Amino acid sequence: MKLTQTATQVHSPSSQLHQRWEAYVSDQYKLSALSLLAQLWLSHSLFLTDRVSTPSYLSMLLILAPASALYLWTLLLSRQVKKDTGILTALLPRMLGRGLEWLIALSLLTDAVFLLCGVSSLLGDILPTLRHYLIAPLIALFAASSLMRNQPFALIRLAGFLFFPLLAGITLSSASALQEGSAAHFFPLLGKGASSICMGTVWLCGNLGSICLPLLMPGEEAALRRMRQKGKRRGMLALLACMLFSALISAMYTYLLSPYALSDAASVGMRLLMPVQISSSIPGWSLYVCALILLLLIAYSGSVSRCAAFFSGHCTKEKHAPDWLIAIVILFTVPCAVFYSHRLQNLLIDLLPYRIIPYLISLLFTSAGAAFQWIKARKQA
Amino acid sequence: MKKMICLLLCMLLFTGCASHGTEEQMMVVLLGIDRTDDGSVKVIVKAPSFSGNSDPSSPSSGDGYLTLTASAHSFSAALTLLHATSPRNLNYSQTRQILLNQDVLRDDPNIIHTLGQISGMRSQTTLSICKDPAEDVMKAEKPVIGTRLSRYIDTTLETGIREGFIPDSTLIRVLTHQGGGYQDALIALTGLSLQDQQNQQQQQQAAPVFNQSTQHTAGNMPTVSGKAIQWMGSAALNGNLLTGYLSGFETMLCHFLTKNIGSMSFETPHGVLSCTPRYGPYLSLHHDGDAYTLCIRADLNVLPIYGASVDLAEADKSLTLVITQLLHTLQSLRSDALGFGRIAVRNYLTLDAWESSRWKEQYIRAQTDVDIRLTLVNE
Repeated sequence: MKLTQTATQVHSPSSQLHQRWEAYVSDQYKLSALSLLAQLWLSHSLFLTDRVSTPSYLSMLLILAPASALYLWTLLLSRQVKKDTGILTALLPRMLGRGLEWLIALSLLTDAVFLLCGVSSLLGDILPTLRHYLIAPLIALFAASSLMRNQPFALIRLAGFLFFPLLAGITLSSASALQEGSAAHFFPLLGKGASSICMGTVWLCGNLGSICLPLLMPGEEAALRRMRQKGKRRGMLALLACMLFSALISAMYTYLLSPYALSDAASVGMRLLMPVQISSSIPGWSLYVCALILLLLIAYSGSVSRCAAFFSGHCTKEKHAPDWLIAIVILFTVPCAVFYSHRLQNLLIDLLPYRIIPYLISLLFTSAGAAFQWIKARKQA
Repeated sequence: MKKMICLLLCMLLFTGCASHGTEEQMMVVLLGIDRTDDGSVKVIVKAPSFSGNSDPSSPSSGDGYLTLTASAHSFSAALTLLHATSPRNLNYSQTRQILLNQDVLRDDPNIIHTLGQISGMRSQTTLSICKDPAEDVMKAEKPVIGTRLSRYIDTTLETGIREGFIPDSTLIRVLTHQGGGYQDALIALTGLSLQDQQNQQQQQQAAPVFNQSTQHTAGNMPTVSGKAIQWMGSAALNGNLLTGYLSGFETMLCHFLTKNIGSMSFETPHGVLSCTPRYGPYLSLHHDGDAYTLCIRADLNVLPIYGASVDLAEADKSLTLVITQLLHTLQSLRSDALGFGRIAVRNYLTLDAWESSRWKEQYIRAQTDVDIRLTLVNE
């Protein structure tokens, strides 16, 4: 037996390439999954808690249907691409494809603004002595220093590395507060009514942009297809796990808090920290706060990085967005978080559901492009 | 990225000590609120002075703790005045107990909500109601065992809660109950023991022993108990209104029926029995048209203690009567402290339907049905 030889031939250049692709695709999905979890969690605190009340977890479960449909649609389109470029530019005329990429980048910019407002509100409530206007620039500086100089790939790798520890940390820390909850808080089962649950689901659909991840992937070359498929399968599980996890988080809030506990006046940060207020476990809430901050920071940095990638048209592994573009995207996200107020929060609530529209428009155009190419190929055959 | 995140988390962990030194702030251990004779609100805080100089001639720093007070027409104004006049920033993150005089709560039912809004207030602080002036109770509150007042209060409260004579009335728990509408909160009752009251020329009658047939609340306790402050019984709330008091035994019975404690002592004419549940206790609601019946079922093991003889039929009858009386007392106080509302809410699909059902009105008018079965256990 050769103890020094590994079971797989990792030293072979092709195996190394395959494994890297597999890990890259899987990590991209995990970053999307964490981003989705962070956005759903923020959405729960911003909108669902007071407008849907007790059955917010039902709204979270119901978005599984549109999310699955959206994912399958995107996946189907990605299989039509044979070139090593982004889907939009591969299936559509270049100018139109780039235009749609810009549209998606705007949606990602709104994601980043939303996440930055959430994380700065959270930090503002944790550190009341820190001047409010300093928090958002500090986070932006942190994101800039961690993303520039070819670091977006490090972020993707970090998301893959921290995926399970983060979920485990949130679960463990929340467990300490569960003894303070009550199953009676799940009643009345429909809360403010079935219409409010459906309204919550529709509102949450704005967060489903992360589901359209295959739009980020370059076209599939035959040699690497198998390895990418393996990465996709693992990534799909991560996406599903995070959507179910967000439903569990909603259920946890319902279990811990009575329907009347959250008022309109509470900030997003205060609402995120509600389980901490209830829990008597100091290690538990410390872990909860750390895990939550990490999750939001990774999601924010991921949104900034992807936004810059879509603006520059560099959505592939080999290329990355230029530093100056990342800096500009970050600068655009900061003012909203610095001047965050109740009025601005209401504006965000009105705006956020529309983030899904660029994706839907892109998918519609791309479907038309794919159908056109298929007809053209058939005619030629 | 990893390094940056580690650095950021470390910065977050160290900010507390970096921005606020121990001697740059006052860590409030006790917060008291009183109503003065002229109708204004008096706020009293007790905080460690962190000073080696314990001058016995100084009334404020004799025991290593500094007591600050401020009075104004409202609680908010008094608190603002207190913050303005205190030598350091007041920090409530280590507050162990809030003593609320009953008159203050009766005059301002929203004061508990206001307390929850104080910046940095510890959510696990125990809220207590006192019939005596809160300032007198705070003066008498000293660590009889150990040296730290905060640890002494924590441990004494834990013991009281474990025994069942006082409810677990942390600020967040009371606020959750008040906000929820499914169950009313019970708040721990604190007061001066009789000896201490006599020292202060407050003549009150003492009860000879503790049993369920007498109303034992804080301030109405045996003369010699080893400590000046007593935690015993509870104040019953209807929403945020103070409606009355439960004795130590009634509070323990509430705890036992809601499964917060695993055993209960019960006195019969022949001696004291220890009751532990075999099944239950189960609370349920029977719904017949518009009328509800509050039902309690329990199958209990009873163990005679201190050599008591047992007449099971008599004990059964006596315990059933006591529980029925407790239910009637709670109904008369309009306080759903046992949480029948948690069961009632399951019958409704939407919050609108629940709110329009006017559960509390139905609760007050509800019939009671108590079914207790006892089984004798010999060690």
